Amino acid sequence: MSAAPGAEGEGLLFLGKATAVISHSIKNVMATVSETAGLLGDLVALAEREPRRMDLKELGTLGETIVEEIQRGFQVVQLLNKLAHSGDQPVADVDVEEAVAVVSSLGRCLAYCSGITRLPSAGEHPRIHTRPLLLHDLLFRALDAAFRAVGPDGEVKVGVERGADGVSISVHGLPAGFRGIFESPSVELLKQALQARVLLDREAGVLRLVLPERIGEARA
Amino acid sequence: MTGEQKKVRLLMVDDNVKFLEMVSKRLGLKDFEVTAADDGKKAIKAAGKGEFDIALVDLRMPDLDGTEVLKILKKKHKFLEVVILTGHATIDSAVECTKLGAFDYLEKPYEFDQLLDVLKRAYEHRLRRKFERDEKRLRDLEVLSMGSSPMAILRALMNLDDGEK
Repeated sequence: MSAAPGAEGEGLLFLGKATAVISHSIKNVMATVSETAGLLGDLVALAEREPRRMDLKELGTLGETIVEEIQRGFQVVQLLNKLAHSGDQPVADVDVEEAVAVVSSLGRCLAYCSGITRLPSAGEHPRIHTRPLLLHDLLFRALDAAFRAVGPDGEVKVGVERGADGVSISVHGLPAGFRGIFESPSVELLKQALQARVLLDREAGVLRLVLPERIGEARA
Repeated sequence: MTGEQKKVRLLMVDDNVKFLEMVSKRLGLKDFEVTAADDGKKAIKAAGKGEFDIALVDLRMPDLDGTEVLKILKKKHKFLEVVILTGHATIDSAVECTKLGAFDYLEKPYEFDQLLDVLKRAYEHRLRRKFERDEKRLRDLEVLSMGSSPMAILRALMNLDDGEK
């Protein structure tokens, strides 16, 4: 990634931020498992003293809650794993739908951007040859900015489609006053490294990231 | 605390609904009377309706985050002790919460006994502060009663309960 040193730094910052978000989610899962197991123990201890108070149904429900939370924890760890591997190779083939799914899951770990809906895809999973880590970074910035604009109870829809000029990722549902995030120097670095175009249709409330099928080696 | 004693009234707010439910139930078994709210606005509304001894507030929540809730609760309810819970502890946020009047700051996941200990200390602190307030008022009333008219004493007595929570 020596041809994009500034962008590489941005990628590292993104990984740091994503890791903090994910560790917060894991802590929440662990705290819930710990409290549920604790309550289970409290109820068993209570039933030992007063057998009539034994509520087997409640004990079963608590057991199910622990299993559900552990499953949630697995999903969060899988997300961490996918993001960590996005930095394995500076440039690689990327399934764009998959990248959107990963970043959407990361967004859902944040309390303020949980309302992400995926628009139905055309069936195909477009693949592009790009910088995976930086693509995740740019996508996350787009979603983060979108949610800061729509508010924590808002909802944005994300779609992926192949066009004549590459693959575009669209974020729908932005309010009229959405100003975008794309004037900062760090975003400019990402755009250059990904050879991406960012288009904002203020009237329709749609932000579009247009990515080439294959980033040019000269600019990579 | 025994069943004969008054229960500690606790307001808990956390957007992790499962966690909120489990902690509320566990504290309920330990003689706390828990009112649960899954966002900051609901917590502030609940605090306005009922009297609470302690609020247990999650730091990171959508819409109104824990520091905002802390500010509002401390402003409106002088004697309410607020304990902050967080899954994302940083020195900066701990300092900020302490400056805003939080009694303590606990990082998730924690040992339940640790939580009980913090809540016990928070309750004792609240009682001590209220006792000191009452003691001062009593002293003021004693001074007043020595040289004041019966009407002035009556007015002072009526002002004793100013509704401060």
